[in-house]
Amino acid sequence: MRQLSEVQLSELQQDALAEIFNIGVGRAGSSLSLVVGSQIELTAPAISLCPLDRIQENLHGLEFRQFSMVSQKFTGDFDSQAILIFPETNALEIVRLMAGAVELSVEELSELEQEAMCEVGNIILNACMSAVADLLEIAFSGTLPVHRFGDTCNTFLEALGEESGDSMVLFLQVEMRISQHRIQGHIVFLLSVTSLAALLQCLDAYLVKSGLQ
Amino acid sequence: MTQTPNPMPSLLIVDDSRMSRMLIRAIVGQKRPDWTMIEAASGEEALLQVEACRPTFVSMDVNMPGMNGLEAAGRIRIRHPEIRIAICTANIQSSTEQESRKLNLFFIKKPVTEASIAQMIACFEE
Repeated sequence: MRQLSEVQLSELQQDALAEIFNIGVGRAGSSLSLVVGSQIELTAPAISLCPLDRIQENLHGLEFRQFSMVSQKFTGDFDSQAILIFPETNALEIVRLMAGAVELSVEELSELEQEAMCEVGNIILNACMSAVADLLEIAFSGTLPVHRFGDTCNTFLEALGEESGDSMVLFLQVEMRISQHRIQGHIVFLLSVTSLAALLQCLDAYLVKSGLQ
Repeated sequence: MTQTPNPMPSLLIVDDSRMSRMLIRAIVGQKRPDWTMIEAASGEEALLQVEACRPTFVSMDVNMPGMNGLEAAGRIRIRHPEIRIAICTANIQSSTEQESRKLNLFFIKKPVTEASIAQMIACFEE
């Protein structure tokens, strides 16, 4: 089992990681804003290293019980599991806003909800990871998005599925709000510790390129 | 001798997301009500539709189950170089955009909005 001490990031590396994801989430927010036609408020990414089985303790502000969750895995120089989480009641509202130009009945909206949330997740998570890839001058390949409903944090762990071999993960979390529509959501990234060395190399190259190292 | 008038343009919308196909169809329908629209939910289906319907334009998603959109677009490009193809994707990495440009494809960033579809139509009609 990996110990926390084996996977320390320097303050500068942690700062660079937060900034890169901050830019990524900014691009994601801008994409979501185009989907729903309203301004999105985002928090700065909170970063922590934690054991996988204690992730739910780190999900700050996720007090809502019924989730609508989209996850997507990105592989490349390093791997990242990206997850978009909304309270279930908000998800339907997002789909309604997204449908915009298409007139849909309530029944049609419900029928389309899972598929539409997949596409929302696809757009937002890809927007973020595309910015991260461009800044680090690397390329990611993303899996197709998977949607899950859930009423406990077990759903969250289920979404991580294949990550369960890793005892430690680097955990980044961003909260977003669309005040106008009373919508709140979270974007969570889990970076596999098995690819941490590659991530650190990418971060160091970025710092050198930026003249900071 | 009278000339045969040009047939109205047709657009093949290729996307595994039904929501995206519906949005593209609705917005294009508002902007170009005379265009015929056909749909495909995968790269494989797109290749069949191209042979069956010979569309004027193709809007192609990238990340789909089975054959990805870049491969499908590349195959269409080889057999039917006259068809104008726009990649319309959430995968907006520079590497994906560069690959699209190499294949001589237009590159439109999702989400599907009035603005992104206006951009796509402008590419098709330029």
